[in-house]
Amino acid sequence: MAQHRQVLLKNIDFPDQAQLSGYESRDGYKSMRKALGIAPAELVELVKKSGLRGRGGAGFPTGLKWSFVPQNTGKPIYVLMNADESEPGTFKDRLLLERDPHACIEGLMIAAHALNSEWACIYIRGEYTYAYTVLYKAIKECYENGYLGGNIFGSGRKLDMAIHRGAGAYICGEETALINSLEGKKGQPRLKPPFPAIQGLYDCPTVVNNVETLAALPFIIENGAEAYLAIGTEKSPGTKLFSASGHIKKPGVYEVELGYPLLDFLNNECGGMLEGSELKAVIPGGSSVPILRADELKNITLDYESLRDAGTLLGSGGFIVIDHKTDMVEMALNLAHFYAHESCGQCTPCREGGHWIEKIFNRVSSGAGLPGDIELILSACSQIAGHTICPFGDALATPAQSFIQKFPEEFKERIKDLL
Amino acid sequence: VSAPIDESLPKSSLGKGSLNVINSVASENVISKSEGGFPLEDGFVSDAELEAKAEEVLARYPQQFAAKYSSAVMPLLYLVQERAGYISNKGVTWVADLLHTAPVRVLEIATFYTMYHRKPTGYYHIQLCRTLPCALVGAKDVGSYIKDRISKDNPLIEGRKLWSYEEVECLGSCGTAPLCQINDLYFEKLNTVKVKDLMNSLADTAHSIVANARLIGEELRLSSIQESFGNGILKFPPSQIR
Repeated sequence: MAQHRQVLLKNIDFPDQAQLSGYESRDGYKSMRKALGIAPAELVELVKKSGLRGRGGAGFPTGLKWSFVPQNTGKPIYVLMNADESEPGTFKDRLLLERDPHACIEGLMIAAHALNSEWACIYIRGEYTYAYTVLYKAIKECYENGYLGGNIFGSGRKLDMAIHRGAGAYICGEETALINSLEGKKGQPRLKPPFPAIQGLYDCPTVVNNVETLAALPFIIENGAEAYLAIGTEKSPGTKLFSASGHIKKPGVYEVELGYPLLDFLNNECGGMLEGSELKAVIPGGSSVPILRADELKNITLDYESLRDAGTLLGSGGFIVIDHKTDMVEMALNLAHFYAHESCGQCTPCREGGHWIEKIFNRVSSGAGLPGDIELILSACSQIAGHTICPFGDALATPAQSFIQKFPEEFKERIKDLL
Repeated sequence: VSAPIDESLPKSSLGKGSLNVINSVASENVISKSEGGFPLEDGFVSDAELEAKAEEVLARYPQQFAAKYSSAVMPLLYLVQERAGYISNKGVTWVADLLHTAPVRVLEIATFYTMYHRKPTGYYHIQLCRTLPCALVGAKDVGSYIKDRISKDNPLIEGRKLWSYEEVECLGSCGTAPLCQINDLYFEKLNTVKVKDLMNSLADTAHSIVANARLIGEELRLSSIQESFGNGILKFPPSQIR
């Protein structure tokens, strides 16, 4: 039996976990104290060895990302926590931020130490006002106790931390858009290279890590890379938070050991389908990853490799379960509207294409679809994906393409009705 | 142009009197002549308290780059919105002056990000999540009820509408869908019956409690209402947000 809640959520139910006293009573800030005794370069190696991958969606190895940061430029280095959680179906970071803010802060401190950074910042989405107040208080407690400021933990090192509220732009979850937003600009992604590790915030070397990634660091420092590698699968070590929603009995955030069978997760943790609901489809990693039909789920396990082989992605772990009564055309339209609305407007294919796809889906959904509309959507998608500065173009095209590909009969039927 | 919010009022007992004070700001905006749909003349006034808050915001970011970058523009815009209920042209100019930049640089931020309002909102600004996970479990019905109710019954209280409504994208609470955000608080696991009760309670209390936490920074006493609607996570009210 897989042991699930061992890294991220093990203390989540304690009512005083959000307070410094409660957090410290359960070994809080022990890892940071330990990390201060380790040379930064060794910390980077340790995290590399642990196999920790970015939990925001892309799954890029965290230690490797850190190792790209040059230490000899003479410029300050910045570490940013990406708490701009906006991917539809994803609400895992909010739980961590609200219930265990010090774990997130400790992770950010460790990252800052590993990278020799003296200024770290949390970029939190604007809607998360409650999480903001919790974090604000937690950071204040850290300053009051000398855990942040000019001489952290009495080590002689300096670290300042700020929180920056976003204001309702999905795209600011993309790391270069986040950096632009933090510089006081519109949240529009940058061309890469140069990557943020070389030229990020204020043109200085910068690392942006997801909340969940950072929150796993205290465990890795405390227990070592081997302990983390021992959890999960060989290629996907560790645990991952899944945000389960849709037509299931027990929606919520679950910590799952990577490699756990998808159907077990659905039937055990999620409590199975609602009464009167039959499983039709699952989106396993947030709205931007391809959808899976019920008949495709059998041998899939929840890890990066298995989901990739099944033609989808682990993404952010937004696990959306859809039942047999759902109108897939309407849901495709719903997502098309989301992406059309959230496009930052920088690249023409995405800015214009998003609205065209929505319009055509709208036509199909309302029963006024024309012969050739499906092909038209697919052709628009193929001209958006891969032709934009950031992956938003791909994220926009993916659900449109996969909904049509997996449920073609529903789309065709809507058009046939007209003829 | 108009009196700033009277901070001497006892915060725990903000009754009808204090609503008058807030509305003297808001109502002027509503009746003033407008250009392109936005109020041109407005009642935004800065004072020592706001200047002090602005100083604190400006100090948060690395000072060596402060002259070249306007990192503080977003929190400063929140300060304006908190004070006036929306971002007026005067507010934009105030932010631009603090950052030593052109007003248009601030305006483009205020219009790019959807959480900044360029027009006054109602006392209760309802944001219903419409994205897939909420849509799967009935957000559309909840939205229809709210829209229908507001179209029939949206009283003007001392120059300001009681309700305003917009549909927003994923609010990040899909496990308790469908949900809406009213001012700063999430109201979760809604259905048409619950949203009706919720709106009834809010309408009843609108005259006796301060409706908008962003205006006053008053602890929002909606928490008791919220608890009765079973929102386990947000038990205590958010303090002043900026």
